[in-house]
Amino acid sequence: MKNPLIKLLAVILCLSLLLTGCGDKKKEEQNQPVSADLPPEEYVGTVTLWHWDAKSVEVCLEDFNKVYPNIKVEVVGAPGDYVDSLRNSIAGGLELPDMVMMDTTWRGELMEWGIFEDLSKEPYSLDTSIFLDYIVPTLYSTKGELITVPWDVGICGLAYNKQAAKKWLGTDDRKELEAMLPTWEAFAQKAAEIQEASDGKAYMTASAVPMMTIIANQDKSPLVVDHTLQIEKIQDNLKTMIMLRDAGAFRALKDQSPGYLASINSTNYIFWHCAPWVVPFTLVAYANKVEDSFGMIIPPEGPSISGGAGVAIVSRGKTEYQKMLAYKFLEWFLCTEQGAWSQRKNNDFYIHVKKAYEDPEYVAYGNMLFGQQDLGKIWFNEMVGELMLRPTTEVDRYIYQSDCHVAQQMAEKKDLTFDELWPMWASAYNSNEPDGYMIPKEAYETE
Amino acid sequence: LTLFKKKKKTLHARINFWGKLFFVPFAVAFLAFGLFPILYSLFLSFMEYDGIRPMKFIGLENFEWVFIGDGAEGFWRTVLNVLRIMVVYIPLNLIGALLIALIMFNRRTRPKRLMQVMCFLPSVTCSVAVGIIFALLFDYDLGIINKLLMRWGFITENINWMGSAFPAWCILLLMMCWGSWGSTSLQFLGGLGGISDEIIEASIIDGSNYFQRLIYVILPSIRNVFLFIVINGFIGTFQIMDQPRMLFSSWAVTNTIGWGAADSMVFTPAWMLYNMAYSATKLGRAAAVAYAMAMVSLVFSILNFKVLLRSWKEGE
Repeated sequence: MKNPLIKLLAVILCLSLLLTGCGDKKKEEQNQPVSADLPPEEYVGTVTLWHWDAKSVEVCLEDFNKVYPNIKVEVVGAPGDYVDSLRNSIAGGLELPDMVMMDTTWRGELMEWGIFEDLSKEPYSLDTSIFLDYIVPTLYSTKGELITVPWDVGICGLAYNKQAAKKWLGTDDRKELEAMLPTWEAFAQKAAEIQEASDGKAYMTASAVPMMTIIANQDKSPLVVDHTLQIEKIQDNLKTMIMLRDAGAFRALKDQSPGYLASINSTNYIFWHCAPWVVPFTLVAYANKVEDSFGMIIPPEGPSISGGAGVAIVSRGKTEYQKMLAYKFLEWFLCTEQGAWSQRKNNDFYIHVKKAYEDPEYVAYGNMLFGQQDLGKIWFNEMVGELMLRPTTEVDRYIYQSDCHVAQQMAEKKDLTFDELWPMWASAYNSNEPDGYMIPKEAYETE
Repeated sequence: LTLFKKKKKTLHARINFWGKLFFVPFAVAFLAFGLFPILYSLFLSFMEYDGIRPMKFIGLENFEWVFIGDGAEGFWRTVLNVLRIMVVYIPLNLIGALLIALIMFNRRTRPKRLMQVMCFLPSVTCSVAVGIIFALLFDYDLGIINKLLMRWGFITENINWMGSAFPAWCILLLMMCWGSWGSTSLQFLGGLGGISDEIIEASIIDGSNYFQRLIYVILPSIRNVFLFIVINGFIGTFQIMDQPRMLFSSWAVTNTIGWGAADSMVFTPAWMLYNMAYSATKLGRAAAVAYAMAMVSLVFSILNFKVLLRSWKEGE
């Protein structure tokens, strides 16, 4: 070893071996089972969360760190195509976040990827009875693993422009409107009347897609039974939409398009879907700031949902300790009353902790646009008990995409019949090649 | 003499060394972002793979799916769509860009710089932004086009531009031409600048007017540029996705992927590839669609090249 370069290389090699050994040892230690009942300050470390609205989490972290001072949560702003980022990270062998937010559309599919922790098992043993009952069926994968912890509530009513309602329906009183519109048939009938009275200018609502979402989510029966897609249910929803379209209930404005958002201030449109997140992000953001100009009713045929995210803990490549840190964050943030209050106070978000709704102060939700109306009471005292969601399936996204596609098409081309729309729906669905759930061609192709 | 020889060799070696060194960044970038993805997607096209679960070798099944299986109808429809776009877009692009280039090339054009900037600006504008601008212009309810037509009394009810197949197709063509005239005219300008002054002067002395010069002197002199633009236009059009997707997919935030406007008239092979990779998450099939696209594109390019070359030669 006369050459100094060789000596140096030998030293570097020894040091790196030593450090690698240390790393492995530490990882091994962290991979030992961890108790879920340690004092909060004994959980030490950093966890990452991918979330599309990082700010809304960060404002609550101060409250979380009062209880868990040694857990640092890094919130990474995940873009709209977070699923692509996640898939690319997996395919590229890159480090995954500890927790991932999942929107309702992708949730069913993501839960089947096999990269998330089953929270029904030890050491977590998450009890789902703490959550609002309606959400529970959506938290499980098709294999029965408890993957999702529910985040914000998507329970959905129908907001109405009071001036438009008075002008076209003759009243802006909530109870009178609910009595006037008990079913979608009654809704369609009124739509036809106001179309005639307005010379085709006034519509019940501006866009077909939110209407389709409300109708599709009102039915709680499973869409997949024994590995078979229940196409009759989808066809029934299509038929209801066609009835509404033919009555002139909705216009062809694209959901969330500038035209749709501008329609909020027009007296030619009466209703908009209204989940808790819609109030700040759509109505307050785009409506003229006129006090008591809006109201909310329960939709015809009962409550529905629109949106509402969940979050899961990544198990692939994570140590037991790391997963426990992530769980401790979710446990406090989404499963306790303190977490619920923190999000209510900082973001006006409602989460699914059942116990929090025992407090009328937590439930109460008002906004200048809605005057004295307490939206929280309608959502959580009147609607939530009637609502139940169907179990999540791995083809939810394809169903939703096909629903949106066909709803928009039928709104744009008013002469499309069921016999044309159903094949359109089925081919849009099949174009995603859902393994094992393809609709056979004979079920939608006619000679 | 020996000393001189040695020096010459050293200089050659040094040039060689620097040449290789400057070549390294390109070579690395090409290997990593060019050759590797090409080879890897070829490898993927024989696999069943969703990016999550392990890959499975399935031989030629993906190609069978694209060319003769369940995917064939969709794939050939997208090819037909893109051919329909091409037949109109390439001539429009050539004519529009040539006119712009001729105006720019004229010494009397004023203000030249401003015109150059105005013509070239669309080419450097992000195609996503262009898509959004056009979607806003032709919006059913708020679009300025409908508003103007209504104000001038041409229409009494808003036209659903994006929701009807033919208008949607026209808007896409307009958007593509608007976006490409600037860069194509630059290529023409390069060709026009290469025409020798002597030839032009000779034709003037022979008494030709401007249009005779254009037809018999200028255009034949830049025929190679034409050939280049046509072949490039063909390949480029075959790959379009971002403009129609931005124009015809639903607005941001929604989860709809889109199938190319009414009657899927602007649904292109590249868009199908994207949907297959990111919506259906079948990366093997997406890779097979990519290779199918390349094969069809190659066949048409060769045909194109042969036909155009023959016609040029006959013209000579």
